[in-house]
Amino acid sequence: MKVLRAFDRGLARAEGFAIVVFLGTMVGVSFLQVILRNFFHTGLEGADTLLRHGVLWIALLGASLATRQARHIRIDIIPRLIPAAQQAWIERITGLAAFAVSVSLAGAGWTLVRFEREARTVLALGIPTWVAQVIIPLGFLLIAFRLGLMTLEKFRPPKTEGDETP
Amino acid sequence: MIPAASIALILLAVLGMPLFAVIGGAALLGFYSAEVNVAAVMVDFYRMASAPTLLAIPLFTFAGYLLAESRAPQRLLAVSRALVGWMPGGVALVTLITCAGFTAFTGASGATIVALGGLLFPMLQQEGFSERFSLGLLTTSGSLGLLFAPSLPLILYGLVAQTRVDHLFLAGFFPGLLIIAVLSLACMRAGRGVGLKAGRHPFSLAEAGRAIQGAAWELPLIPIILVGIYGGFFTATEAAAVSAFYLLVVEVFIYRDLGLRRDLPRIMRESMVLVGGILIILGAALGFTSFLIDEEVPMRLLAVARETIHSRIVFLIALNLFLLVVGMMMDIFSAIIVVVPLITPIAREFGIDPVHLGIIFLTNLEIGYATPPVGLNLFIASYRFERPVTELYRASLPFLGLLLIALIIITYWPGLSLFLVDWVAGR
Repeated sequence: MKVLRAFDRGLARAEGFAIVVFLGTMVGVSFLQVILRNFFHTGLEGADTLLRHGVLWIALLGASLATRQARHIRIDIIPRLIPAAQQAWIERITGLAAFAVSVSLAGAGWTLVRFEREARTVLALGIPTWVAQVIIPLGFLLIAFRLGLMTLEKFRPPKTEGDETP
Repeated sequence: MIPAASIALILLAVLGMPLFAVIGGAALLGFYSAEVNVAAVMVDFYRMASAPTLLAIPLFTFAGYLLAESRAPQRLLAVSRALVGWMPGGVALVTLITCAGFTAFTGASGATIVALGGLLFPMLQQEGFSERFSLGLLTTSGSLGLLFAPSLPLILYGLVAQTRVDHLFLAGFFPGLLIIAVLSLACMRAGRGVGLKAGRHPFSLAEAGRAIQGAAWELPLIPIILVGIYGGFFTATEAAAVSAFYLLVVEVFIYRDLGLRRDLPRIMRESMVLVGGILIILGAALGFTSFLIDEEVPMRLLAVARETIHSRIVFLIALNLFLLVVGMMMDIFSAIIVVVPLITPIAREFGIDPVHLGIIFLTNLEIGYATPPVGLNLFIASYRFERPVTELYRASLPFLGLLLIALIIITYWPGLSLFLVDWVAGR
């Protein structure tokens, strides 16, 4: 459990770093594109395609962090209206189900990447399409890991605060 | 097995399973039952990356977060206080205008109440407005302004309904003003009750000059957006790129409200958590929608609508009622993603312009946000102002009545939304 939690923290740091790098680059490049297009009637080759794929990457990395912070969008009428004790049970059930769906979605994503790899399509600047798509199965796998870990913790809550240190 | 699994998914959705998993699960189940390779879900998910306005979503969200995290709310407030604080209704009008401007940028994610509520609530009370009036005003103002460019819900609607975002920006302008005007009347009336001395704030040229000077770097963003988009110089995506880059430079290097290392990485992460939460639902919904289309579900809904609804007016009334309920239960982003693909074919059948439909849609959802018993703004306000939700129910009711009047005008007078589009874009 402790190993998993440490792994989770390390992952979150890496994901956060990747988001900062991606978003920073995208803000810079997209602004440059506007300047080039409107004042010089030119543009960076393949930039628009790559920028849109950048959105795909930050979206899935952001969604993975959203999982960690339990901030996914959901219909929370019933959780809002019932007492905390019953809420924990509901969260266990929905957590397990969401975990199962995420694993299946990751599997579907992997099939997509395999197909694209066989098709040998190139996205832009010599980058194969499947490389840009890898984030789909990877992202859902990260989400599934988070959901699994969080649900597991709901079944076996840390006994005391001191559980973190040996 | 399939019906049982479908019922289980609906149950899980109501119990609060993340929506991306509900919709993704439904898509997987659908393709599986239709004996299509489930990788089809991800083919559609990936289709997201070919939408031209996709990039506008993270860029505008980031720009909105930069504004919310800096001292821009205070500066914006000072400007609108100096400019309209002297009018009847004074501070209440300031509240409306500041909230609308702020929400246009932050996209009604509850940020308005959280960021501005703490500043405006004591101000309203100080100037003599009753607690109930102040709470109601702030709760309903939390989603005010999402009809103005460059609000995220407008962009998302354009993306999902495949409607031009610049047309939507134009169409939202007058309906947005109408809502502000209707609420202003209530503010002026309340201001009169409070008495001239308290509700008003004398106009001073020096103060106005100081306030404008204070926000001198942020204010140009308004003409950049307005002239750029409304004048047709920029696409929505280009405006997003300019806003994000400009605000980054202004807040970090000019005002120095935000530290490059201390705040920026956190703001980037936080804003992309919201973007990720929205786009993962969008991606899953693309898969689910294409399954529904394969199964001709929208066609069947259309057939049912044709049989039961015989006129445009009846359809619009049904639409209003349906969307108010949706707006109470779902947040605006998932409501757009899930409901729009089902509604658009039916609306087209009844001769409703897709741009006008977008404005009706968002106005309804804006009202749903503050509608008891479960509108989201009520809960955010209850948390922010530390008041029981039931007190906010009562406080927001009179405002809801006014918003409903605005909704009726917006729904049944298409020209209000469309004439600017026709005039500027020359459709």
